[in-house]
Amino acid sequence: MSEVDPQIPFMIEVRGLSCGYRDTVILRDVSFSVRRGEIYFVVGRSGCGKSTLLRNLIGLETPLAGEVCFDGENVGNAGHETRRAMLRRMGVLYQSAALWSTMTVAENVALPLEEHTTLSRREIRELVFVKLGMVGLAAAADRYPAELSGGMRKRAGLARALGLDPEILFFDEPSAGLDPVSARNLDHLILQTRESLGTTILVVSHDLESICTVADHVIMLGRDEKTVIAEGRPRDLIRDSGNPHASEFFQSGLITFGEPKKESP
Amino acid sequence: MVKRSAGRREKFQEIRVDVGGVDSWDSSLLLFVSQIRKYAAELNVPCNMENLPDLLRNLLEQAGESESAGGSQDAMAGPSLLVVLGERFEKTLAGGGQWLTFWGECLLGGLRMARRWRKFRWRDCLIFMQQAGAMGLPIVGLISFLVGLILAYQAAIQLREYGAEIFVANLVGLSVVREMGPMMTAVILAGRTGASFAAQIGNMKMNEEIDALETLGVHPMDFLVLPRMVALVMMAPLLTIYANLLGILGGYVVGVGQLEISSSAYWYQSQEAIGLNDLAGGLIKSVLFGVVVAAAGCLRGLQSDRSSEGVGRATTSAVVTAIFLIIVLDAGFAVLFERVGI
Ligand SMILES: Nc1ncnc2c1ncn2[C@@H]1O[C@H](COP(=O)(O)OP(=O)(O)OP(=O)(O)O)[C@@H](O)[C@H]1O
Ligand SMILES: [Mg+2]
Repeated sequence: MSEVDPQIPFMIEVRGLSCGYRDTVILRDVSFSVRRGEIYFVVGRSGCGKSTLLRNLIGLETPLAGEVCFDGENVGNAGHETRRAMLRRMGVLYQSAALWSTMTVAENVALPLEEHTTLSRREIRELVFVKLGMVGLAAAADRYPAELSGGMRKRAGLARALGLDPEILFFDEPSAGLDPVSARNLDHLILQTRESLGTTILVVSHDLESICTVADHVIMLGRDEKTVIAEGRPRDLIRDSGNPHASEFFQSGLITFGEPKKESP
Repeated sequence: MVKRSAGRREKFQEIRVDVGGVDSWDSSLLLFVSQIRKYAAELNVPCNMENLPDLLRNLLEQAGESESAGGSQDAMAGPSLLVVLGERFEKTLAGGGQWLTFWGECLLGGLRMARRWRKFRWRDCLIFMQQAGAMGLPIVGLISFLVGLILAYQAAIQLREYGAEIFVANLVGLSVVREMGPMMTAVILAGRTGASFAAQIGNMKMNEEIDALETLGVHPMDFLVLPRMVALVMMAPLLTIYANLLGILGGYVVGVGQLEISSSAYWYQSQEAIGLNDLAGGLIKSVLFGVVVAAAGCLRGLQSDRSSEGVGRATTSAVVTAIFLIIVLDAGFAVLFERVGI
């Protein structure tokens, strides 16, 4: 786990964000900032609005209030084309994986490359196999999403999100439905991606072990409070989060995993 | 049991539940006890439940909590008529706005496609053409043939009175080429293809696939709508030509088989009756019908709610919208063609 240098500029800045659907407010007044190259975790009980937060960040939903900036640029006032250009720099893994069901896994991964690069067909095919190899799915390249298991779908979605080497990655519960070995491989992949490309990664996850091993910073959303109830470095939160709900969440891991890992010298 | 005796207006002093001696139970006991408790609260009599197992007591408490969190009954009462009317109006306006936006985006997508036609999804488009066109041939053929047949019989009844059976060829030929061919083809397309477009797109929306397109910088218009639109714009006139031929064939079968018109006379009469302008008018209409069917299917799919029920509604509404628009357009064309003399 590396410390994040305060000199590094912010990649994602969220100020006073409130979101919800029609007349129900799901989250209010959420603020946080993610530095370039940081691995940022969002946790919270089921139904507290993590996916909603993500949808608002990437602009699929319009926030009720507040603003979201990527790399210093406000998404809210950005025109259509600027927004599109921003989206091109992001990769998203949806909670449901959201693979295009009429295309094979390989075609799914290839589509963003076809749309946004000038690579030849053969180069794209090779690149697709590299990405699928990274998530251990090269053997299933020519299968359709309906023929995959839930975890395989997640991994295919991951390969697709990694396709264009995005600067910002959003993962919605990447390890849900994965076996422990695949989940640890995933943690490794997340670290590796940050290491090699300097990617900023925002992960929604419940997996305490992931949080302990890869997260630089964690924020916890409260279901009843409808806002951020705790934030900080994972080991600080596990020691003392300052909120009973958050403590309950983080302490639940201690039984399984023992003390949080010590920092390597 | 408690309720039944209450129905006889007996007055309870106290309701007592004794579950002592019960050592195995399931949810029905929970339901029973919870109903009794609710009933006691309604009647305003104390309810004494002392002998409950601990687990049951906990479950009962949880059930009570979730019930009170479920909102009051008053909120379920229907809104006033004015509110309903206002909401309806608002919804209609919004629907109109969505149509306009859709057409605008279609236009933009078309322009984009013209600029970079290499990126157009020809493969998808070919698949849709096959599904809408080639696979629709049997049903379009059959229905057109039967429509031709029916028209011929109807015409024959009237024309036989004047000994003018030969004009069956004119009547069938003109009505098929100008009206029935394009219209029946469009209606079948709406039912077969428009509905499947709405279902496909609605399902994709439910599964967040459309969101995934947007976030990967692929325009849903370019990716989903245009290939479908192009496919139908190409297939609708082709299918119409085919439908015209089979419709005329239907009339021919009746004319030659039943009315004893000679084969060559029937063909000659048909050729004389049907002008190029009739044919062209029908084909122009069919192109527009194709656009309308594709647009209704895609738009309703894109608007659908994220649930299987929503997708079902989208499918129905795609067909209804398409058929409605086809008929309205056709009426418009009838007036227009009459004015310009086609
Ligand atoms: N399209 C929608 N319309 C209305 N309400 C919604 C919609 N989507 C989600 N909600 C509500 O918003 C709340 C938050 O949902 P969200 O999907 O963000 O939860 P989550 O934190 O991602 O949960 P999980 O961990 O189970 O994925 C839920 O109470 C849900 O009922
Ligand atoms: Mg979620």
